[in-house]
Amino acid sequence: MNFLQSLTDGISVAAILVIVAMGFAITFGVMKVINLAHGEFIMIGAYTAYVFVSLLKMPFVVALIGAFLVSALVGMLVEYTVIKRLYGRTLDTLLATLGISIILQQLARLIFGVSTKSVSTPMTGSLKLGTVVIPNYRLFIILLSVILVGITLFILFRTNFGMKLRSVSMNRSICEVLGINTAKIDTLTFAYGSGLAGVAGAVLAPIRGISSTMGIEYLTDAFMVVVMGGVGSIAGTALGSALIGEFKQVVAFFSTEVSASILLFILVILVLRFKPEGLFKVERR
Amino acid sequence: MRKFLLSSEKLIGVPLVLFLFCVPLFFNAFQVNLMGKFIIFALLAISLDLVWGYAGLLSIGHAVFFGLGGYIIALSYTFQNGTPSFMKRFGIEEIPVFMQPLTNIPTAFILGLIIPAVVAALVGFFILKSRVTGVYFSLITLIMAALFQMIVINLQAYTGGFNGLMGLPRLPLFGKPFSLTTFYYIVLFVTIAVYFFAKALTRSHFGKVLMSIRENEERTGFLGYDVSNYKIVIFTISGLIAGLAGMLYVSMNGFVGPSDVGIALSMSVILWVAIGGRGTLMGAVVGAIGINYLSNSLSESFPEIWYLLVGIVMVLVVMFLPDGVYGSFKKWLESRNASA
Amino acid sequence: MPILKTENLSVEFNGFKALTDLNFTLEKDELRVILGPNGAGKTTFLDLISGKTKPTAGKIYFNGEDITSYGASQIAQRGVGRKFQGPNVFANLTVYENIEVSLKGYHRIAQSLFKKKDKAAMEKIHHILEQIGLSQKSQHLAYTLSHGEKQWLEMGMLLAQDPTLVILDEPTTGMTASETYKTGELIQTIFKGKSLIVVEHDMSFVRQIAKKVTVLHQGRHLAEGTLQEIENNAKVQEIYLKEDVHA
Repeated sequence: MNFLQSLTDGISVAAILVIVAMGFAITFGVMKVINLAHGEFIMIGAYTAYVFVSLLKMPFVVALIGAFLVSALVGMLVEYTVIKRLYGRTLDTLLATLGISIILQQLARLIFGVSTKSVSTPMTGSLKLGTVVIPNYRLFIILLSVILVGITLFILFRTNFGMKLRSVSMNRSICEVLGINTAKIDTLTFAYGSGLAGVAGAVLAPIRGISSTMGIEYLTDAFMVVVMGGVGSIAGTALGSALIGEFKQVVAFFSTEVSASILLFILVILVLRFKPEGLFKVERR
Repeated sequence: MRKFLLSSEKLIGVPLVLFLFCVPLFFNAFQVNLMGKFIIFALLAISLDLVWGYAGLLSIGHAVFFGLGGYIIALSYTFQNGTPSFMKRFGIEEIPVFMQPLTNIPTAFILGLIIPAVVAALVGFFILKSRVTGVYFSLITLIMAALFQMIVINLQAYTGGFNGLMGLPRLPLFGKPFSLTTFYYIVLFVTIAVYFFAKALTRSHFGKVLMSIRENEERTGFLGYDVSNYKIVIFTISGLIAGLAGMLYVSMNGFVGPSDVGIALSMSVILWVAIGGRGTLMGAVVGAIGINYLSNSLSESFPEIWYLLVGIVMVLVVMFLPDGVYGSFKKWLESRNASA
Repeated sequence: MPILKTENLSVEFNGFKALTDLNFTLEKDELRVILGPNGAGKTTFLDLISGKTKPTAGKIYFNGEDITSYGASQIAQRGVGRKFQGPNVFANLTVYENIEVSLKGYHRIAQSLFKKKDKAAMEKIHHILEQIGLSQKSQHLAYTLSHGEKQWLEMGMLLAQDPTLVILDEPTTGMTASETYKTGELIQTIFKGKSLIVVEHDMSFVRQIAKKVTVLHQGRHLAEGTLQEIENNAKVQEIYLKEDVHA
């Protein structure tokens, strides 16, 4: 294991973090909703991939799209029935999403049982660049993360919906006065964020096992990215992911993976305490 | 309309205490042990209600204090048999110097109260003396819980790691461990005593200030109160009570593991207090004992859907019954009495 | 010695100069009304002297003590009581408890834990409740009160603080004409013997209570004098009173 390998691994870890955290950052940034069930939306995506690939034997790409749609739909339902009614009550929303995470976990357990499911890696083999080895699937993930960031930025800055979304996140009351249907924007935003989480779940399904309790780890990851990168900007999310990904791998290179995680937690706590707005001050999304 | 002369607290509390009192008389050892643990959960819930329901600080990491107390006393028990095997496995032949005080059980008991309190004070001081409030406070406690759980799992040489510590006796403070029944009553009395202490605290001027902080922190500052100091004090007291609960729990359970310090338990306490009713103390008790009791009895008949129901109830309570089940009952009773 | 004095007080937010070089003096037992159009810096001024915001330049003296760097709770402990725009009471506490928690003398943690409330304290609470007319509703939760009642409750809380300097920020917002008049009377009776700063827009109310008036404009001191002098001041007329339709 050489240092360059660690750095490269850091990029692929960062890519995963970007996909995992982006949906969370969007709902937190635009709607000020801390979705404790974010990990469960990832889980939904993972189980969807399992159904499509392992049960229905469909191509992986179909599973990705399916995961997005299923998670987005569930997200829409959750937003419409629960989140919307708690608008403005940040702490209550957090508590409600806690309840929802339990509901989703138990439903998954009821439908799929307790045994860990798996999805086989859609592509094998790896690329060798000098002393560095990158599995092809990781390359795919890095590529996908870039595409997803690109699509999100496109939606945010080049579509009507995106413009409304950004306006609402900047000044909700004025938007309402201007006749923008903020309720609908909220629902679509939450659906999009959940859909992204679903894609993350599908993409990660081949790497880790799928179980009803897989969500918490991803929730913690998403938190840390958002804390580091700041809430409210895609660039922040990307930078936060890069920072954490590299930090983890580099520290692990010099000592152990465990100390890397511990140091990371401590770093996150320090940032939360001293710079709650995140490390990267990026003014607009 | 007849007016109920009794408060909701007495209406619910008295029968509950009577019931709990009679448990060893009518139930078998296994069930007594179980109820004892539920009472300890009520103690833990009271500690969370003090900081959350009264002062408005949602701590998502309260299991840390619970676990600290638990592990301290558990290590002490384990040391009674000499250097534990999990230490020897890592080449540690002698009990480390900084853990020497734990070889004496009464000392360990006191440490199990002091150390969680000190940690709470330090954490409180670290977070609360800054501009960090509200949700960010909760997030820090969440990360701290994750961090603590990870440390406990990974410092295997000192904590027994993933396997935890087992074979723990029932608080042999004076030489012999207590019998199940005796310990059950000890737990019950301690919990009742702490309940009344908490009640007195919330009724005092200090308690009123806490509630003002919960309602409008800035306004309370303008009345001349140094708000962060008040928060640190209640957080410390809460940490101490949670540590006490942890010690009692470990003694009742005979076992302690990383799951007793983590996020899952922290979130469970939040569930109990939220569903029972925060800011009422009795609500925390009702929530903790009620949910655990029902969970235990129903999970045999409906194992699959019981926890799903808990999740649904939680969402419903947050949306429609923010005062919780007991809290809503209390308000209903009070308005009925006022208009009667 | 004046009870409150500011020297070249200035504060800037992100390049925006909210207050510039403000020199202000308030004598003991004086009642001063501060007028000025929206955005003149009136509330910002109150924020500075009550410790909510820190100035970027200048000094503030309270009873001769330099309080420029002090925080809100420290300034409040020294005897400054502030009432905010809009009723700012503790919604889920009873009327009685709102007054009780505002009582002077329980600020220290040890005091709030162990100092008992003697008969004198309880009588004081009841006396205040009578003065603000809320004795009958003492056990009601504060959120059940009407808007006007909440404003009076907040004044009662101020009374309980027993401050030497009382700051009122638009105390009649949202009140009916009769409530406004009652508030004017209340201010003149319950705050006797205290120094007062009142920020207001309602000119009839200002007429009811004002002795000396200071006018701010765009963060600066514009004019000072009796109400009559201000109304006849050409500069003031140009900027402020011309906007004021009713009298």
